[in-house]
Amino acid sequence: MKTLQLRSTVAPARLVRQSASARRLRFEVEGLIGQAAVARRIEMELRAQPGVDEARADPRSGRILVRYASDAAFLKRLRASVEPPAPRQVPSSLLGWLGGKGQARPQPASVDPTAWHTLPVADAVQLLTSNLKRGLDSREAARRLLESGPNVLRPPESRTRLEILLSQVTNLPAWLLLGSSALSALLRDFFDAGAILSAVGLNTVIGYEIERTNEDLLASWRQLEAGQAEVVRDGVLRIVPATELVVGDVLLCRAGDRVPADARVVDAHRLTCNEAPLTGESEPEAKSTEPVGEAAVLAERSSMLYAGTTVASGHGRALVTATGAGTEVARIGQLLSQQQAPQTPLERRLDHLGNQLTAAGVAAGVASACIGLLRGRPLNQVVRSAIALGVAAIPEGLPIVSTAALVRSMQRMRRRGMVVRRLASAETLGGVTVVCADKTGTLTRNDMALEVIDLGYGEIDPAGVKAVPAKLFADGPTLALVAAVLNSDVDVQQNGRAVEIFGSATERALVVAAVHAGLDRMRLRRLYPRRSLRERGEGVHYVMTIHDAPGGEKIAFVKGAPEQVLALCDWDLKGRLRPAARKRLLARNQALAAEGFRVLALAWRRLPRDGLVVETGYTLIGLVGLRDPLRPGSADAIRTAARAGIRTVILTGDQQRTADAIARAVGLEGETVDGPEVARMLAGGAKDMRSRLARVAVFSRVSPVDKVEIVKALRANGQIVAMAGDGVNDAAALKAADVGIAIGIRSSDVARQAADVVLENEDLRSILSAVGEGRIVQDNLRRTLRFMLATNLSESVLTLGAAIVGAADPFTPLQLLWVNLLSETLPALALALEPGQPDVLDRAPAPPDAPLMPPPAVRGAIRDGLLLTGLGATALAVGGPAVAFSTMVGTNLGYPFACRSQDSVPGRRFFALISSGAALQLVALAFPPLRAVLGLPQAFSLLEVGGFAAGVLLPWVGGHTVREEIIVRQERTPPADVRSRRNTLGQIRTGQIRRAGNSLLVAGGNRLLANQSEVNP
Amino acid sequence: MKFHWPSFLLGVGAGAVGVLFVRQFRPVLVELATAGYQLADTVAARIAMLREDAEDVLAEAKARARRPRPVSRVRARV
Repeated sequence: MKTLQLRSTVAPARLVRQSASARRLRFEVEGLIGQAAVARRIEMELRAQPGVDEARADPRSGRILVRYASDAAFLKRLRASVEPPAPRQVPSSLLGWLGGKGQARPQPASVDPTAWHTLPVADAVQLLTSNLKRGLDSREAARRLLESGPNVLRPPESRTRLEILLSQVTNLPAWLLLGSSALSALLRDFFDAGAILSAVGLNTVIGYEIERTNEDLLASWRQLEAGQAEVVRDGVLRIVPATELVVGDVLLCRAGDRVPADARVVDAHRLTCNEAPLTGESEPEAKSTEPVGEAAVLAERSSMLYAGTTVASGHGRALVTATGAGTEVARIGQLLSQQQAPQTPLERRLDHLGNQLTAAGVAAGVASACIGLLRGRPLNQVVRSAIALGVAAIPEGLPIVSTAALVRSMQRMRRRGMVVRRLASAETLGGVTVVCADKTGTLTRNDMALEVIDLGYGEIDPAGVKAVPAKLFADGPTLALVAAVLNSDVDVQQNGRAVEIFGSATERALVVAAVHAGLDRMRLRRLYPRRSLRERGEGVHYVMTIHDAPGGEKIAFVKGAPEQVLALCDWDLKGRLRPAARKRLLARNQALAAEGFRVLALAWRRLPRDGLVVETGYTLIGLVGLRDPLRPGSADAIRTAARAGIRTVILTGDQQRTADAIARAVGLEGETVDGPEVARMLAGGAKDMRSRLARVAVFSRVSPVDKVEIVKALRANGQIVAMAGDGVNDAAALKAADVGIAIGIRSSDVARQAADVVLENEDLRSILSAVGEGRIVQDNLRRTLRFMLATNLSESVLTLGAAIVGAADPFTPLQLLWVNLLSETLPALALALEPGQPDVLDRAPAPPDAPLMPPPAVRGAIRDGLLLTGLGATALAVGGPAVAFSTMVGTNLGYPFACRSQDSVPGRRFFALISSGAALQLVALAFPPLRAVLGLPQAFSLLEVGGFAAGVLLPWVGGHTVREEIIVRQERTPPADVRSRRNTLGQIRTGQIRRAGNSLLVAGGNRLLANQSEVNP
Repeated sequence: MKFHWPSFLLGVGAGAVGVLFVRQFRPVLVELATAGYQLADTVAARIAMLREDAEDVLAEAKARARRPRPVSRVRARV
């Protein structure tokens, strides 16, 4: 893409077609569509150029036609052009001619942007046509900005309102209802058509409102990305908006700065960078100007700075190599956009059920129509019967009920600090079998902390240390913290009321611990001003600082690798440093390192008055151990997950040793697989991978792509996978998982946008309570479905039966809508909003491939449906359609008592909803206008009330009796398959979960019960 | 005119829905209108581009057909 340079306008243009014989050029100009004024201006300026015969700009197509004369001057320059124009690009000499600028500048040769880390600084500067001292020329920077566009990352696309609305109606049942409505309208039954449309509209509005509210909430958390950057331009240091950075700019970086673009390091002074959001590395990476090998992964490219990371310590300069969409973080965003969020299991199952019901409804409607036509019924009656069957077959209230159950679950999770972005995820959580957790920032706080002080006589808890400023050199713990503070280089900034400390994570942790212990850092620096600093170097893994002390003395403090610091020491706090003590300290260092600590040794000595630095005679103060602490509740959450039958796997970009230490800390057992081995494993055979995946607990040194592949492999294994993460490097895996959980309100925008659930409070135990809520939703939805299927079956069988025997339709479409939408929905809500059992997490999740309704439940629903049909047929025979209608409504109110869990007494809400349904029906029977709307006879009959009462009581009482009998029979004689499973499984311990085939066995005491839905058919 | 309860209830319901939900649905209406305008612009642009492409093809064909041919040596001698 080149620029069309006119006197007053600069616009990106693309050559679409060139015809030398016709002397025509056709350009496509970005942003010209719809801009008539701009088109006129371009035409005027082009016509004024010598050699142009005609210029026509069309704001409808966004293109310009230029016809030129045969002797146009620019043609010679076109032939003599240094660089042949790239296909579909404006020749640079034409640009120069059009703008009166003469020859255009040669473009830099194209370089693979991912190889900047391998190039020496001089080569990078030359390739980017920049200058390290003067930076870019302002006009060149402006030209590059126009060419490449601003340095902005396109924010992750959220769903538009229209998409949210359309997603509520793009399903087969909704289309069937809309089709029924259209048919009713064609038959001039406008009221019926309107009523059906209202049912669809109600479901749509409720679902839309819920999802819209959540999207708005998440949008309000979106962090502003705008910022500023210090660059060198025209030889002067300037502050420019980060959006105006271009490739070739010389960028200055200091501790605390957020890196605004990808850049090649050209100058580094103790420069380290926190790259955790991009790579998962918990420790800041040291940066240098030296190139690294081509094979170096992102975390190992010490010669590069990446957009989205933060400078942890030191300062330096870097040459911008990529901006906006060309940065690594944007590439990860592209990876994210290539992932399709999978349909949740609930969505899949409800879709499948909806399709089956729709097919059944259509089949029944066609059958009824054929029978009606064969019997010679009029066409409009036949169509009305078919519509009635269509309406009867679909449980119109199901979307409302399932939405209400999910919303309630979502509200309960909201109270626990979890925001559910995708409604169906509230149920999916209940079926999770594997949780993949990122390490840094998810299991840990991503904030190093001082956890151990060992002064040679046992471990001291730093939290319990109270500094004694009056005895700086006499009190061991105080001396350790003083040495740590004075030896560290951190930048403390006041940000409003908050104090922010910038520097390496290690030194930050030491300073924070010292401040908490009561040391005044500024006072110490005044008392012991630093005179010199010896940094780490080749082979030297410690930092030495020399300070002035009161009385004209000089003191040296040393902090660094224990082996090297111990070599400098002849003394410890008790006296001479004996070999045994040295050996003990080295062993302690090894032990702490094995536990994942970063261990440093501290030492000090008074120096001679001339300040000559010596390498012996130091006094060892002790060892300090630092590490990224676990988030509160991490270990607890993993233990609870294991009890609930959920496996946890750690996915991290960090090193294997650190990952292993964290895994042990949270109680995870299993194999650890490192980066290269992950690639081999994923490339291996499916069978081998399945067995290996089942044994691995930790995947370390994995890239964002590896995380996605691991999640997909687990899902392909039949697992329901939840992915928990907070960084940009987790976003694609969050989207690929069945449920993506972004941890913390400070997680990256990209992670939150990709996630289905956002954990506000950063307590991982909330995930397990969300799993519990999900299981309650699953249990309640199964009972509700059983209720709705049985009642809908009874309506459909009655209607179809009437058509078969040639009788009049027992119900009108409006009556069926009344039953399905109003009098059925309220009891269904009562079932869907039940509180659930407290021991819901003490059982394993349902098998991922288990149907929404297991076969025993389906058989039970069919049996109950036929019984209700019998009741309705009896009422029809006794009292006619009006009594049958009342009876059907009554059964809708009595049957829920037979469907609900028998482990608890119905609550107030249950009775309130059932009573509301009863009141609504009584009003419908008693209120003449409503009777007219429903097509009931004007005269009110006591038989209708009797039928209603029979409908309420018979299923309630009968169902209760049948259930007790089933439970007793189950306890006496478990089903054959349960017996055989018991034998196969051997001895069962109390509380242990076993899975056999497609069923679950829950051991309770010495009894074996089949799973809930088998007990309550 | 006879008072028709169902029509009255439907009208009241529609009015209530409109009053209660118009604010929530305004963004949807704006997006719908935006999509409509984008579709119209796309269709108009596509038609204009097709016309221009045809014009280019005809212009090139005309230019090639009317390009002066080189005179043969035999004729020139004659």
